[in-house]
Amino acid sequence: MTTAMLNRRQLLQGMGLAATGAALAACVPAGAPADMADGGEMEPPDIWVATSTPCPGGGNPERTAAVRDHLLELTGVRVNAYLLPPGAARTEKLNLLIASGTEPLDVFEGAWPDFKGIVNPLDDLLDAGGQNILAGHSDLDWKMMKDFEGTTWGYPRLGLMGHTHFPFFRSDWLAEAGLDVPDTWDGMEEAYLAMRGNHPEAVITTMGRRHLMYNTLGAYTDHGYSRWIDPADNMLKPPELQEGYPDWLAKMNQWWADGWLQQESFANPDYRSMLKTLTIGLWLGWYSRITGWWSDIRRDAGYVDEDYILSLKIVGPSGIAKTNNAGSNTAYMIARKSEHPDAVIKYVNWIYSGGPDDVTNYLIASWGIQGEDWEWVDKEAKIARQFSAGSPVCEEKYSRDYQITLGLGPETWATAVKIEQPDGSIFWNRHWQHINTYWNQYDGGRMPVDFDVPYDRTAIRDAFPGEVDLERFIDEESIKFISGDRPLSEWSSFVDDLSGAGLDRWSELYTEQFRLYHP
Amino acid sequence: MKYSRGERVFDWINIFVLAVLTLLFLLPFLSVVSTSLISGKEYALRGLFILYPKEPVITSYHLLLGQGSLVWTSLGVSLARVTIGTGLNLFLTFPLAYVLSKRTLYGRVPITMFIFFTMLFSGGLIPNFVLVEKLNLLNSFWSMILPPLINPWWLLIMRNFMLAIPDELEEAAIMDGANPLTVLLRVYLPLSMPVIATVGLWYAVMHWNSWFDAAIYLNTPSKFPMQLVLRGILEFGTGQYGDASGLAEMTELIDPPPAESLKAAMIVVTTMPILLIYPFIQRYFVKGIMLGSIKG
Amino acid sequence: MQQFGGEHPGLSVTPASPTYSGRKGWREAWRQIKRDRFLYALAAIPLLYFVVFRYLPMVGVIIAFQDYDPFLGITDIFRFDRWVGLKHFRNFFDSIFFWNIMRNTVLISLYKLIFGFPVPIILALLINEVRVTLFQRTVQTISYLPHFFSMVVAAGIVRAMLTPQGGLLNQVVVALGGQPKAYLTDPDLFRSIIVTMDVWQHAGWNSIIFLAAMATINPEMYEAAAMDGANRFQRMWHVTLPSISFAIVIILIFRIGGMLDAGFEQIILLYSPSVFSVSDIIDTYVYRAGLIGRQYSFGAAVGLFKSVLALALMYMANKVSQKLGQEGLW
Repeated sequence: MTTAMLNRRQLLQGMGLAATGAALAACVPAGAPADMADGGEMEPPDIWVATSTPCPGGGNPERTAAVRDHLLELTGVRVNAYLLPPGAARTEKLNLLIASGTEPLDVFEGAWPDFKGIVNPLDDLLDAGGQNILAGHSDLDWKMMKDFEGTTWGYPRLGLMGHTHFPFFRSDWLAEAGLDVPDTWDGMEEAYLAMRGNHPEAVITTMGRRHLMYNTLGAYTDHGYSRWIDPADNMLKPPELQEGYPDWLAKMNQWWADGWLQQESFANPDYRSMLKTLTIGLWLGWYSRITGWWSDIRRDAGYVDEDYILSLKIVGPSGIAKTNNAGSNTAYMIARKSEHPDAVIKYVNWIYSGGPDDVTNYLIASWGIQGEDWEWVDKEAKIARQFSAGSPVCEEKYSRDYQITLGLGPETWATAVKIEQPDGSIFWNRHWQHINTYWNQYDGGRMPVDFDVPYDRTAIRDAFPGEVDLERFIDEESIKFISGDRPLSEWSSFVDDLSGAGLDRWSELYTEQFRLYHP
Repeated sequence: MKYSRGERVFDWINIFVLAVLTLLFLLPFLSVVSTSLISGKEYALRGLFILYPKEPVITSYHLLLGQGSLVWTSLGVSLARVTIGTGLNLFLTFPLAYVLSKRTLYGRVPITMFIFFTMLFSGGLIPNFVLVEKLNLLNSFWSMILPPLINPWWLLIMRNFMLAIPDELEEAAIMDGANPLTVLLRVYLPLSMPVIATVGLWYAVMHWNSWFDAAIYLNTPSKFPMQLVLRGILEFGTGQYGDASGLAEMTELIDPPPAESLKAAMIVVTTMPILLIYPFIQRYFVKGIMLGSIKG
Repeated sequence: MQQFGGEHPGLSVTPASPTYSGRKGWREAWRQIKRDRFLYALAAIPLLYFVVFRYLPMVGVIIAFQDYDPFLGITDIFRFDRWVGLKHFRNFFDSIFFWNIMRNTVLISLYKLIFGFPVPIILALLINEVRVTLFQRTVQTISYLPHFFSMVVAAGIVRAMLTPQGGLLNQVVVALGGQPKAYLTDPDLFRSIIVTMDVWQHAGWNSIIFLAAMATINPEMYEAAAMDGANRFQRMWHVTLPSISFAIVIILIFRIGGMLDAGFEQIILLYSPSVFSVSDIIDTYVYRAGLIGRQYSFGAAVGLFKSVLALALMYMANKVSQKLGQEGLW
């Protein structure tokens, strides 16, 4: 650390006094205590962030160092990163960093109710220096960051998302059958049957019951895939206890029995391989398998006709089939042990500063130095050219180590950016295009009843450890009803068993928190 | 020795059975190697199992190993970890195994129990992290070397091998005037080579494959071992534990996972070096090594 | 023919370590310690390692009896205001799936033991009998390849074999006129798949230790057996196996001690709600419980529960092995 500081200082001195002075003056907000180094020279504040990138070992060390210096010049804040490992080790490492007494960590992401005791309330900090962050999110996004007393605990990472679930149909098969993209449940079934008539191998696939419910449960229930208030006792109940849920199960059971649903729809198979077999007629899972994985396969294989098209809205017997993804209370938070919370806000505010129209700063934090790692071809039209930033290999690029504004906000705005290819053509990644078009399109889906409640689920699990049993029980039995291993005539005995597994306690705890926000 | 007809039939059946088994072990790996050698186009058009590349390309290896210093730096860290780590492991495990194999040692059973207990009970991740932190080993190479210095299971296996060495050999050596150190180095060391080689292989593979400790204790990418740098990429965006973990799914909001052939190349690159060790170890598995070393 | 086995030193019955009592006993003990001072010196540093890196962190088990939250002070584990006694153990035992989870854990482990334990020994015997050195070494090297696949990759291979959407097995089934089937979602087959995969992945690797044990056999014993007219099977049965029994026994004891670890990563990568009833094990349950919130104390409690059971299992296995005249753990 000491050597790094020294080198940094020497470098700054070499840069010329005027520039240095300007950068440093900008780094300390008026009134904040300044760090004084030897000789009265001001040290820029160091902030430590925990990030996870696709490159667990980081990117090119020289590029990364150059970006770090560049960010210091631009913001007056010196950013340092901990790279979080992938998979299950991620949470462990993050928690140890947060808990550790010796490792500095200023900003990290997580569900804010879990960290309430150890992070800074952000209201004053945002008011003082976070105008761009405040302006960058909707009231709803901010509401999810506040406890019921109105204190803000983080800035948004995830939240209500309109783009995550759509039914995707094989467009060439629809055309072959002379059909338009369906917008009703019956139309959807007819379309699938027509495809199947021409292609007996055609199947419907999803990614487990949750995703299937996001896409279809609204067609058969009053509230879709959402907890709901039971008028009978005014208590919050799980989606599975809605009146229409058994009807939905019956419909899914019919799909299963008739061989419509791919047999591994609830068993997490290798979707990439499945996409390659060109047998999926209707996709009812998470969007990125189509917008990302499929579009890669399609490009690589050189398919022209074969493709998928989404249906914006499917209306079933009980209304709109889809439910919007309420996301979560996942936030970026500033640790209470942080020595420079104002510098964190300053840095983040800088990334947000152009708003949706100018994402230059976001791209610098993500891709690296403008003019070296990437550059604008046409800033107005949001067309960029990538140099090292476009490399698929970690070793060649800066790998986003200092990016702490993922998810809603700048990352979502940046999906509008199109990339000029080496051959001069303009490429708008289908995945980005999809997010950019639909992330705030909530009309095609139902709003979950409690979409604006940032539950403290850890508190609920502490109070009711049986929740994990309840989850397994509902999941396991629902799949049995769908696959016909359990007849629907046993539905009422299933509901009785749910009560035995602690359903009332579950309702009590969720209702209690729900009422804090909806008195 | 002359072999009977029955013996030869046995030999052929044995070879046939082993050849079939070998194929079962080999094919999946061949498929991985082939996948590492195909283009994105070929991957998209081929079926699930790719046994041979139609048009082999080395793009993935070029991408992985051609540019930048990261893979090579991390390979250096991994090699240092394997050699230094395994060396120290054996340097401490072998003498302790020897001591515990002395049946007349006063307190042998309590000491063995003391070690055995640590196989079953451990404090978990947090106290270990705190210990490493207190010892000032965070972000240090030694945080990967010191905590796994002796594996109690392997220690006891080694001890049981040494228990099987006849005591008469030691007694004979002592008669000849050997001191305890000479007995250890001249009698027990050569006689234990098969088990030392095996346990050494276990330690080496453990060091080579470990990435969790590095992920937890290290913060500077230039200190990361290869498995952390490469293997992690394999698991990125695969939603590794399926539907259960919502956040893993959310993080793939924009990042696409790397191409399949690149992933396959990573598997080959991380597997090959450790495979190359084995032939060196096999020479300690020759029948009659014990006899030979006694006579020699 | 039994004589061949009896010759091996590994089979000789060990006298228990001497114990002494009283003043005279102490003096005798001191005399022995002084005699073996070289041995104690050799053991000192390794034992210090066990104290520092294995016993010091063990104080962490205390969090099994607390509501421990590292964020409130990571080193702060002796705070009695967080003491909750056996709450976390009770929560685990109270789970409506407790017996199901225990049953699955033990059954999967047991199957893995019954099938996975003998296979490496048989494989080692077969490899040991090969007389063409090059072939022998090639087989040995290739046999342990699958061990080096990370579980994510190995599970991917198994999925690709078994998927009804173009999987290898189903292609064969369809070619033979059958119906494609999603094998991984069939509760009747799931455990068999898990066990087969486990054997496939680790048989070669696990055979190495037995090959090492075979390397210590005195070739003269084979020659003597051949003189007595023993054929290949008889020599394997009466010379090789008894001579490596010391290795077989200790590894068997270890595997019995690992009975409550049924293979977390493997199962969590391959299971699904359709097969929860036969596949949900202690570790997958703890993982799901910990997905929400920081369940450090709960995890520690279940871990402690597993350790105590493992201790009991290994103690019994060790007793049995000593009864059979084998060198056990102590």
